[in-house]
Amino acid sequence: MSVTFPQFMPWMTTPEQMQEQWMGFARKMAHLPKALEVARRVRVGATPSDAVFRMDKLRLLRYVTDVEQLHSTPLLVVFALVNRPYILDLRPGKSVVSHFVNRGFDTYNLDWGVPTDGDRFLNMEDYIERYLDAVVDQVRSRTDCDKISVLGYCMGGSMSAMYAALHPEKVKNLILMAAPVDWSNREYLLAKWTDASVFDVDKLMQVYGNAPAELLQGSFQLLKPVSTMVEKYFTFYENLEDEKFLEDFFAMETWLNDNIPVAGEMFRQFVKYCMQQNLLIQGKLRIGGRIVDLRKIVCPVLNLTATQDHLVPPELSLPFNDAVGSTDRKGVNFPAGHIGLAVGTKANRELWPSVCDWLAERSN
Amino acid sequence: MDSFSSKDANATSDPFSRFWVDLMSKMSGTPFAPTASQMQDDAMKRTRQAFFDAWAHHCDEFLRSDAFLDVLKKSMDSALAFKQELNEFMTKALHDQQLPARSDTDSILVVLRSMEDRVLERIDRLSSRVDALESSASGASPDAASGKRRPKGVAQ
Repeated sequence: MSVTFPQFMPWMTTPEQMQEQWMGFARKMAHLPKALEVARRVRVGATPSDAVFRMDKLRLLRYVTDVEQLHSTPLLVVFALVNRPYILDLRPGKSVVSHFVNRGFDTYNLDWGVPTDGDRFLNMEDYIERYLDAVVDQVRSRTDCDKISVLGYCMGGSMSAMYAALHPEKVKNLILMAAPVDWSNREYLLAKWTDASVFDVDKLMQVYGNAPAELLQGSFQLLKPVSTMVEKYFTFYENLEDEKFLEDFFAMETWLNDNIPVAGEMFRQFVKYCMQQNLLIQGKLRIGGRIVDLRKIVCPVLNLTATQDHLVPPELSLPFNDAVGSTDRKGVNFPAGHIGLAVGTKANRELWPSVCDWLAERSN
Repeated sequence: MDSFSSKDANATSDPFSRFWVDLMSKMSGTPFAPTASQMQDDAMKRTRQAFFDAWAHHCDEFLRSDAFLDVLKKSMDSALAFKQELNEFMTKALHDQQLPARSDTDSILVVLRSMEDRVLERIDRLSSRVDALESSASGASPDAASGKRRPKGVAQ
């Protein structure tokens, strides 16, 4: 039986190939100044917005558009405390926000701001009962609506779920996007690393005050080291001549490296009570003296998960739909990664238009 | 797929390439070969991807192993112990110079936060009493009299 050359020695390169690779390398190197220019000029944030409300360090952004408002219920987007919220409006064609804005939703985004050492004592009650509640009240007051729609992403989704359970009278629709609520699965990597036997969160907060941005970024990168530290740069090299790729790449890198610390007490409570003790899904989590009972969520719920999410695997989010009291609840497990759910081409082409349809049916 | 034939090998203009391709053809004992571009696009990329996948799989196994978790715990513990000693040293150094340290600002923050809690609690109680008075004056229920809560913060 004959064996083809690549099967025999697939790693071998012929002189022709070597010459071709060398020429390709030279072409790419010639493109480096162009890549640097793209890196300098690339901007994040696709949709114009105004800060309409400020409280301590947080800002409430309202997206400005010429599109006629077609839905009476406004939408509030709540992002995690880790990283910045513009990932949901990264670039034209990669913006979750623009889908809603272009479909006539009055859309708001909550920018939590960057905590400093003085914010180390801000806790879950501050973030949910004080900040998030004030923002929701502000949106309700501005739009003269009793109830608003809330879209929470990642940790922001968990916080939105907690808020909706504590204030069901203010939430008309709840959309969760890769939001962890059930940490009973201890096999995924982050659960192993944050296990109480390994990770002393009390000590960390006592010593550092806030959760350091570098620690968080390093941990997230280490979850998929080959992909984030090696493969990514191979892909970058291969696409060095593709300007569109470079723009997307640098926009993404800008966001990935724009890390912020998390307020110490909030981080400690989230890790300890949610990730380690898994109190939320059991209905034992207390915020401001009140039990967070997910069964009190009776509004329509759309739970979006990503099949290849290494940060928040679907198992952490899927139990939410069974825990709520809503009868109108839907889950979508979309083939994407954690970030791909927001910025992926396929998600922007297929998922978000259907999410807009779902929300439009429930927003008047 | 194009064949790795001597005809193809001879078709290359570069004598060294011709020699090399011919040699490899004989070494592999096969009359088939891909073109350079196919080689580049398929086998090389597949090989590389397979290597990365295997590497990633290996890393994942290692990162969840007891050995790694043990190292993680020990390195975290020693990093925290070092940082704590550094904090204590800095606090002592600053105090020796009659300067405030982070622990002092933390203490002030704790006092401010408890003061804020007490003031807010007091305002809530006063607010409830005002609502009750308003409702008794207008004959409406306290909830209706209070209306929507006034948002905190600064509207712009």
